[in-house]
Amino acid sequence: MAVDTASEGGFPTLSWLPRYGELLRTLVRRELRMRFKGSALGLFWSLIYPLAMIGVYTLVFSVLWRVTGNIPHYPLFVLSGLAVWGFFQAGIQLGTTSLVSNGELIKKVWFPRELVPASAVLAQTVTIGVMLAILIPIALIVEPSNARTVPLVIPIVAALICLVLGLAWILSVANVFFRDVEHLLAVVFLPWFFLTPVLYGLEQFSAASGHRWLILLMRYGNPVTPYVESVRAVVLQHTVPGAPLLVYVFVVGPVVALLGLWVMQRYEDRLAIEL
Amino acid sequence: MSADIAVESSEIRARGLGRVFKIRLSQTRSLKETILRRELPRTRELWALRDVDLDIHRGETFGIVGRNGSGKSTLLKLIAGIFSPSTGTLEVEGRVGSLIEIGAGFHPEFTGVENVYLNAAIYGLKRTYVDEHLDDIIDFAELEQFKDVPVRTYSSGMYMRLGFSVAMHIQPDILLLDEVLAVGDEAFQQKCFGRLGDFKRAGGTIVFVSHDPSAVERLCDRALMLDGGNVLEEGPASEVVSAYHRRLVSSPAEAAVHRDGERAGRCRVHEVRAVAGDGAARDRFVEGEPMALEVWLYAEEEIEDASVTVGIRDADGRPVGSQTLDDVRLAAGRLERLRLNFPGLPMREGRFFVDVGVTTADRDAELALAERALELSVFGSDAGGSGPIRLGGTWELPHVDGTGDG
Repeated sequence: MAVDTASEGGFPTLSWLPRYGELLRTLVRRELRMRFKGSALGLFWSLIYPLAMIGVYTLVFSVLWRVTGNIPHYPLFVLSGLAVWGFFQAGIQLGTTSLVSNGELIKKVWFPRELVPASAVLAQTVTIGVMLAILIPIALIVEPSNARTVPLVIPIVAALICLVLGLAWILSVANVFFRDVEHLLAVVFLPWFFLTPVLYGLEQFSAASGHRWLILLMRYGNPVTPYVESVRAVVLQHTVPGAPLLVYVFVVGPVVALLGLWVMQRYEDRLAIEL
Repeated sequence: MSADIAVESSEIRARGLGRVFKIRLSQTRSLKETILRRELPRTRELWALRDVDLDIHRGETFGIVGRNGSGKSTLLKLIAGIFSPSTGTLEVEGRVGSLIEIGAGFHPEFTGVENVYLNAAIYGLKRTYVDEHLDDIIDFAELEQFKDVPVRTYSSGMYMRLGFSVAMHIQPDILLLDEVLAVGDEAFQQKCFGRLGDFKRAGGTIVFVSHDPSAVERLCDRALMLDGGNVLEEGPASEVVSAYHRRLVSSPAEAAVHRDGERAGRCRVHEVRAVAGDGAARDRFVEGEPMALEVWLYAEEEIEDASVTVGIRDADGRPVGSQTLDDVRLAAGRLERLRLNFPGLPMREGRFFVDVGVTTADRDAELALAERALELSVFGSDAGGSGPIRLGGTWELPHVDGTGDG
């Protein structure tokens, strides 16, 4: 029994994983079952929204407004962005509320609390998985040379999962202490979406050359942007992202995950009391 | 049955164990409040457990007695690992099965079977192990017909049966038992005690918490008495229980309950207990059960005409109801008992807190106040009905001769 291990050490640890792997699987399964329970179309519902949005964005920006002239395959461009953004947003929002909504479980039995936000986040990987499963074959048909770079999407998405896990761990703990965190997030996500290059590319702005620093800020100041751009580059634009972007992607994700784990394990003990 | 109870090793060892809680005097906290109100947060430290040394040996059945708020549950939760010690050390060897609270580790939206998997996974068991034992678990809990129904529709008895069955099938080395067994029906209780006997004979360790001293005396080898978070007695169960009995009836000044908001003035609320129909003190009841609240008051000087109010609040702190008795005369230096009888508990399922306040006749001066002097758990009955209160009316069918009109 790990009564005295979790909250003492300074370093985050994954030592619980072998013993509680089964619980993590059970919680993820449960999360998925809850989501698709009682709906005949199941997974289809989690796709219909992004697909409808792609239709609308294409109609408005590409067909009517014609501001996307230099972006080839605009619907696929949006789909690649939405796949990343959708997972990021849903993972963080559901992860943040997960500790509070599973309070009954946490108050009464002991298990590593990091499992709860982790299961909420991991269950969301199904959506990004399905969206990529639609996107990648089409991308390969319209541009066969994408095949050379597409495998890179796996490590990039893995790093993205780390980022979302880390943020979900931090925010879920914060939400236990201050219940307004989840409301704050709901407000922040809409402007955040428009600041993320989902509907547009950062290079595309005519003003970009005059405001180099602004573009840099939008690219590296927003943790999702490098992931959106990297996934898009390897899936759609048959290019390997530049070194700064790659370093960002593979450093920030794991570092945030470690930080999240540390926060989680630091406050683990107080969760049962605060809830 | 005892075949699947395999005990390898178990021992619980505590040294200088203590746990402090920060009690926040205002219940909710938001970011805004924290940012805008810069003065010190209104919190108080409460030592739920202090400097406890404890050795529970392999194969022993160990009882913990004490009144509400004495630290029993805190000690059990520390052993279960729900939170960690503030001071001292605690070593627990072996797998701990806990039946501390009804429905612990269950998700209300999950079916019985899904919850068995969830609960077993929390204990660190593999899915394949549960696959093998699922039928046994459901059988023992007598829930064949309800195994695919969400557990939120279960009665408290069904919850308890499932929880007990899972806890017994996870091959624990140590079993933590709170008073949850009390909600089961007689026949199932017998079955549980039979199973606990098997467990004990196989060398399993049991830690049993109760404020029913006779149960502790019957079941346990050794026991511990807690009061205000401190160990008062430790030794053979019968000795500890008789010490506990002596303590319950004697020395008001020493055994005073110190609670939030209590004044050190002329009068204090010594104890608040809930008593069931059979006269036994409990804090778990079933909807509609007869219950009496006993309020023990102690006055330093004589008070001629005090008003005593008993209020009940729900788990969120909302008032459920209160009742005041005027013209209470309290003699100096004596424990006085007031009793508020309920022929049938009016609350529905949930957790409730009892507050007791004593004021002067004109309600101007507060003489004593014990907030959350008692915590009550009410479990649903199978009788049905809905809404915040149990109506509890009795039906009368129409008479054939029509004389009932008018």
